[in-house]
Amino acid sequence: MSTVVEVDGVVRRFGRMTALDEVSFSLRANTIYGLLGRNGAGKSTLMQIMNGHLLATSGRVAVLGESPWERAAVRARMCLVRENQLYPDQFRVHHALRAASFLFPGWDEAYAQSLVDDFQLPRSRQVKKLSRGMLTAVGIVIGLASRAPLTFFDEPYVGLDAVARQLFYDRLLADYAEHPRTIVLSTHLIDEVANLVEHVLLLDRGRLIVDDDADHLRGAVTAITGPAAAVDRIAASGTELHRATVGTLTRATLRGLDDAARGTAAELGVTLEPLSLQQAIVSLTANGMEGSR
Amino acid sequence: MTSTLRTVRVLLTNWYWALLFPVTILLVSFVVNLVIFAAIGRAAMQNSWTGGLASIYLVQLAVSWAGVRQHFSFTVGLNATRRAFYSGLTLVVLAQSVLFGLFVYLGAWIERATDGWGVGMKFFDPASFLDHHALSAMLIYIVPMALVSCFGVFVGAVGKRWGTFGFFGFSLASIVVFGGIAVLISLLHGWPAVGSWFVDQSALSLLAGWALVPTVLLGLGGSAVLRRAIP
Repeated sequence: MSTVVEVDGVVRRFGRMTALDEVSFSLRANTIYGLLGRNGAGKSTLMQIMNGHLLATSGRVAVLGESPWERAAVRARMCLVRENQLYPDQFRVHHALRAASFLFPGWDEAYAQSLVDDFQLPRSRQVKKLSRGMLTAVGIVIGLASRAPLTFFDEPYVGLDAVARQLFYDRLLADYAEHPRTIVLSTHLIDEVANLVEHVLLLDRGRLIVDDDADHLRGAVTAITGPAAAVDRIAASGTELHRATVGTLTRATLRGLDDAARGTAAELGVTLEPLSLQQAIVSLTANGMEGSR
Repeated sequence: MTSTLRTVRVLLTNWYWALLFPVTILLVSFVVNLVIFAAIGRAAMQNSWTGGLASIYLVQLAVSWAGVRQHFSFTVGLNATRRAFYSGLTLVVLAQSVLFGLFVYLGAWIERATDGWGVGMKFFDPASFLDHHALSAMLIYIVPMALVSCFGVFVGAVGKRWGTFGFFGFSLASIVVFGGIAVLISLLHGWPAVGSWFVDQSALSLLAGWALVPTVLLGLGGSAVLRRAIP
């Protein structure tokens, strides 16, 4: 599949703080990415740099082969919906949508209107008088209806209740099936998007520590439970992330367990349990592990 | 050019605020003044200028400033280029300047034809600008409108780029520069010369000619300031 974004050795410093540290990866066309990481990991900064809102201190970003900084042709094909997206004070909801329709060549007005109905947004209410959740929903409508070949959602769930979040995931997936494009979702509600994202980028304190397919990642971390000696033997064949002992039982989380070790585990009476995406990511970030590529 | 026109459309999405709001304020100011003149009577107020015309210039200043403050983050945040935003905004404020300037010019004509709205009020034409050639009179109204617009945009751009500290820095720099010039003129005993230069200028050369210099400088300055601002 063709590459739409290339990020190469990007560093971004704010004074003495390094927000992004030598981050490199590429995004393929028509894939849903989950940009994951804890608060302050650098997710928003990375999205701003990819969208040409911020300049990197060093390193290179190419979107559709060009720098996104001030290139109208490239930027019209990208849409970034920020968690703190600002709207002019005098804009009502319908103004915000009409203004957005002028900015995106692929805007689908009928779809936008159906989303406004789905999220029950009051069309003629001033945007600044919307609740936090409704404000987020306006951003979601703009992001989806823009049909931009590269769409970025930065934490698109602030203030949304579980029903509205599910609505967003459902609409996103349905529209993606009909109009494939590259979508990047930054979130820390990992379980909720686990079935949505195809590829995971995990940032930890400004460094990219995972760049892997979600399916692969799901099976990549395993919890093993059994007698300490048996667990020790199995653990030797992978990378140990965490260990806890309760009475005679020891439980360890491991990354990179091979088939031979899995066979041995069965013989030794050690139980294996693949971790969910969220559990896998928690154990990876808790340890600040290096690269998975 | 198309990306510039797109930002123009975004800026005019809620066109009442961009095109009618300043005129509304001017008309309110006009009506208030008219009522006061009618109440006090022609004899006492003959040929006085109300100062109410300043309202549309002040509102235009605020509208231009708000144009940057409120629309930059939205428009550039949704991935218009800064260049397209700035050229679109410049087109809009220049169009506003021409529109409002012509509106005031029209008001000045009616004022003259009705002998001060029947009460001897000078609202739209404080200094007999209509004695100039028609085009010159229009420029006397339009160019200062463009000047306050560019000033508003420039201040808005400084605020976007550097936040509150930007305003402090800009105020401080202005005081140092203009204070320094004033000190220099005083040291050189140049005030009489400065005064007579201003007196020698006609309204046309001052308001439609020299006023273009700061207008263009502020316009270019705003563009440079906004070029690296973060939406």
